[in-house]
Amino acid sequence: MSEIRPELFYTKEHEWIKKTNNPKVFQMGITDFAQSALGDVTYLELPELDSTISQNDVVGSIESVKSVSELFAPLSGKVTARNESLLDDPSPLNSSPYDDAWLLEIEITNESELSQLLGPEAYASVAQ
Amino acid sequence: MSSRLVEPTDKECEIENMRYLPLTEDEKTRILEKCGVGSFEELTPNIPEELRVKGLLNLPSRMSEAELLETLEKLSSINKGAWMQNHLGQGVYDHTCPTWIDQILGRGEFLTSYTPYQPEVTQGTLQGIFEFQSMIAELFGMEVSNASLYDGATAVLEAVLMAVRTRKNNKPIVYISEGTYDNTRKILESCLPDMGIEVRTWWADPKSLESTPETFENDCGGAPAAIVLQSPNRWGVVEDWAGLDSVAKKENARSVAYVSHALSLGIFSPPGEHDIDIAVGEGQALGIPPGFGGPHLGLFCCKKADIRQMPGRLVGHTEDARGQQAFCVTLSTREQHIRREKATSNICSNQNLMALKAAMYMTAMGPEGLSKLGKGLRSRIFYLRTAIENKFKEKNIPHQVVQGELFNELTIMVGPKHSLWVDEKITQAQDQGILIGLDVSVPRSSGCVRGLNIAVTERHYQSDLDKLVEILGES
Amino acid sequence: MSNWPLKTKLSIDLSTPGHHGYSFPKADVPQAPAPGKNCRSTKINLPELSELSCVRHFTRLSQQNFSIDAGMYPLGSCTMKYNPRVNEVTASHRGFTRLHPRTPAKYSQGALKLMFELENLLSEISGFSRISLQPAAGAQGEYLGIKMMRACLTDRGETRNKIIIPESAHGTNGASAAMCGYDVLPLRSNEYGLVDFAQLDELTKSGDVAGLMITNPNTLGLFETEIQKICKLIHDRGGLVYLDGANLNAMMGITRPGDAGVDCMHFNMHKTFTTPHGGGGPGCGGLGVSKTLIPYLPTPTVEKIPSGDDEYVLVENEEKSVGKIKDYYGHFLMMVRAYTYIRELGARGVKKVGEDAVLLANFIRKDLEGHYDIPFPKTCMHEVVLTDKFQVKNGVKTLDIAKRLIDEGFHPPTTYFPLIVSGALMIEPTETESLNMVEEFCNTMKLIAKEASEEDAFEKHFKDRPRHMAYARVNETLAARQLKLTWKDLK
Repeated sequence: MSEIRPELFYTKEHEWIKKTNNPKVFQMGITDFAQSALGDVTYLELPELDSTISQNDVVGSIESVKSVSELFAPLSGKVTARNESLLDDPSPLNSSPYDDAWLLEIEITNESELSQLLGPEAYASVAQ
Repeated sequence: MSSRLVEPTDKECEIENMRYLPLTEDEKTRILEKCGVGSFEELTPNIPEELRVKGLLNLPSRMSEAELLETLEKLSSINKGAWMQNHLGQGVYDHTCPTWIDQILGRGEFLTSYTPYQPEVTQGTLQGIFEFQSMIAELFGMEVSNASLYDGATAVLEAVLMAVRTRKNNKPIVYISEGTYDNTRKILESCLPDMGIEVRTWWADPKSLESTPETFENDCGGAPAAIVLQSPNRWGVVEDWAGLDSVAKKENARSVAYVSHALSLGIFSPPGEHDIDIAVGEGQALGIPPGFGGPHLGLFCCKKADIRQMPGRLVGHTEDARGQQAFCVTLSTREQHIRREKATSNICSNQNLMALKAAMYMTAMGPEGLSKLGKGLRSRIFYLRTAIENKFKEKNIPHQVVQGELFNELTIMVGPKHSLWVDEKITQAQDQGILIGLDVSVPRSSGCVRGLNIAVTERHYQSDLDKLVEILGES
Repeated sequence: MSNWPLKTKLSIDLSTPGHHGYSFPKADVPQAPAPGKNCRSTKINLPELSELSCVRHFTRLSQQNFSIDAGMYPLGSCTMKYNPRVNEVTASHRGFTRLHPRTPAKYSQGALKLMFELENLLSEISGFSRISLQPAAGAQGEYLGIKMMRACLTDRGETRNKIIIPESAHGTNGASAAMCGYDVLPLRSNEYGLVDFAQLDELTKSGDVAGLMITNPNTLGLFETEIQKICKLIHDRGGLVYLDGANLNAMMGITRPGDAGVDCMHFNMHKTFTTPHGGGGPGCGGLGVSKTLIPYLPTPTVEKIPSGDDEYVLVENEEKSVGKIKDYYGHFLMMVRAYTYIRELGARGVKKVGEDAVLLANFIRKDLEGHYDIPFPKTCMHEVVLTDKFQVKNGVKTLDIAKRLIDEGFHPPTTYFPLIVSGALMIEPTETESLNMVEEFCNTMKLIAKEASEEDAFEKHFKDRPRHMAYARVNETLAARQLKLTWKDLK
């Protein structure tokens, strides 16, 4: 059974979203289910700092030995922070997907998109 | 199709085919019974009746091994060109190769092994290719090499595609030096437009026959994605990688060095000494026979920073669960079997056996061997050029021989009045059992209309070269 | 495989300055003056080994390789059949190896004749009107096929940009289509693993589809019964059909793809026609085309002089040709091998290839029934697809089964392909294996299935495989993370 944190939101693409102290800024990463499916992560590509992203755009990729997965933007907005250390060593994505391996912080531009995110129960049925 | 033999009966065919097709009639019956059917047709119900071949295909009768060997030997012997004194070049050369190499390469463990997707049982291939990658990177002076591509021309094509991928903000335009082989240019012009990439020419200086920063267009109308320079070029002249670097940097394009003759790097400055982005080449000269065109060996090097955009297979160093040094295919996520239509290219195979052969060749030669061989080739071509020039002077023959730095080829250029001279010499030489060279086109700005390109290898002695000079000097 | 103590040393670590393994003629002309500015200033860091050291080094390397000569490769869609040694002898004749590709026709008649005859043999076997031998390998053959289709449609004044590719297809299909500038429309399989005709009908209604890339038998080893109907649909809607010829072995002498209405098909000489895999190449492609596509063949083509007495020539085909995709004419020395093989087989041999390949695969299908999940159990052609469905319940996956086989002396089958079946194991015995060997393979698979059903199966039988080889499980993650790709990186 993969781990699902009750305080987070999720997308169908196996990404988690977390509120920050700033009501307009949200943190994102990939779920335990995703890291398990990928296998050992070997490389990560993230969008540039300060770049503008739109919901559902492909904004990066996560590479493992046997596959490569696209990273989709869960929300539209501006990239205000990236987890730079992950770019050199992406292994925390496997060991600590919800804590050490946050990927991006996004300053959102469209609040209505938040209602499209899944709660932990809804995500649990996706992550079978 | 001819074959002098006795027609075998059906039964005899069955028996004779056994050596590759060991399933007996009894075993066939057993299998059909196990599958609960009475015939092969019942076993393959998905094949519609109208698509089944009725009876046998119309192929020539089978041959026993002795007949086969005779037939093929006969076909081989009609290829007289393989026995003539051979000065044909343009990217393919009849160099020598130590005989131990074919013997070891022919071992079944190398010859009949599969692609190394299961690294535990293919460390032979994997280490061999790691060594190949290392040696090619050394030869080219570059940070990394892949496990090889089909041939030099394909490598240029892939380099251009990679340059375009990594310069998405530039215009999809590539400049190819005028001195690039006709065949290579033809392939680029056949394949690049499909992907929306325009091919333009970096003209050569009519005197020196080199493509230099001075001869590059003043205004390209926007930054091109790639600039390609071949050296030695098709007239035999060694070009300057520093010039390629300076033009590419000025235009903010990616520089692509195309090393047409791998052995030239034994004595000439490699692309890596000039901060070139992508260096490709043809490795046929590294112990691989001309083979009427193939298989040959494409070489591909780039900078480590670009490694994820590099096409082809890559072998990386690692260890096994017992801590032993080991190797495996790596970064396969770029390749077709994972990314499919998003792959960096559609290439599935490398020229593995040829790469292993080249690895063996480079191991046998070492740096001294490559240097000595390269110097010897260059000495021969310089000797030939001087002798031809002297002969032309003596006989008042107006044709020009290319000037500048050479490796193992030169070109004699003729003016409009002497166009047929090239054909005459080729024919005269053939009558004496010599393939004197190839007809090449020459820069339109030089005032000449055709060229005769002559290559030399280590098989040629002074007496062979003197024979050429005699023929060239005849009226 | 051997356990040499020196096996892990790189050639550069065996180097002694001054040693070498070459012998070439010395130049007997005066030495030229040293190059000026273009001189190489850095010494090349290559190994210096005597001939014996070279031979020993590479011999020991070879002993770390599995090969067809040593054991069975039941790799689905790879057709790892025996590589006849007579082919190596014929391909090493001086008249073939030392022939320069631009040798004038009158001095290369043997080579031209061989190419011409090989084209005829392949044409007869496959049912296509003309063959191009120019592609270097299967993937290049695919690329050529799509390119020619595009040229044909452009010639008709069409600008269609989409190609339909089944989800079960080989990865090169999509990559080749993309290289020709096409967008890929994926096609689902129906419940029988075959092309979903209704969906195909829907996708092509718009009239902007350039064509379909299809594999037959498909990657599940099943023959597409409706192939003629499919070709007709595509043609009626103005498109063309490309067939991935990877599975031609199943059809040898039994059915001809060209007869079904297919417009082009690539050959994998290194699969169906025994040219050796060499550890990953060189391959040897080839493309068969229908009459429709003949004008677009790459240049040059080999033609027989009509008035001549068994005389052949290369003809530059400028007008509508797609141009050149490969330097010269293709992998000629591989063509010699394929030609030798087909001439040894004759028509009876060719037919037996197809029949025996299908019979042996069906033996495996029946023998492993009940031991492994077989998603399409009723029939198969030359290969059969199993899954790890039964074993996964007990914690044993396809990867574990694959690595387990190595310790029993078999190369693993194709794993995790096709992607449409979860945990796939694709098995193709090929017709050069004896029934004894195939039975041994099946018995081993049954043993593995039994081991997988035991309590604590993974710990007892599947963990850390292979256990008995010179090399244990290789760390592919480390390789991708550290990226050490040359010996310079090891310093």
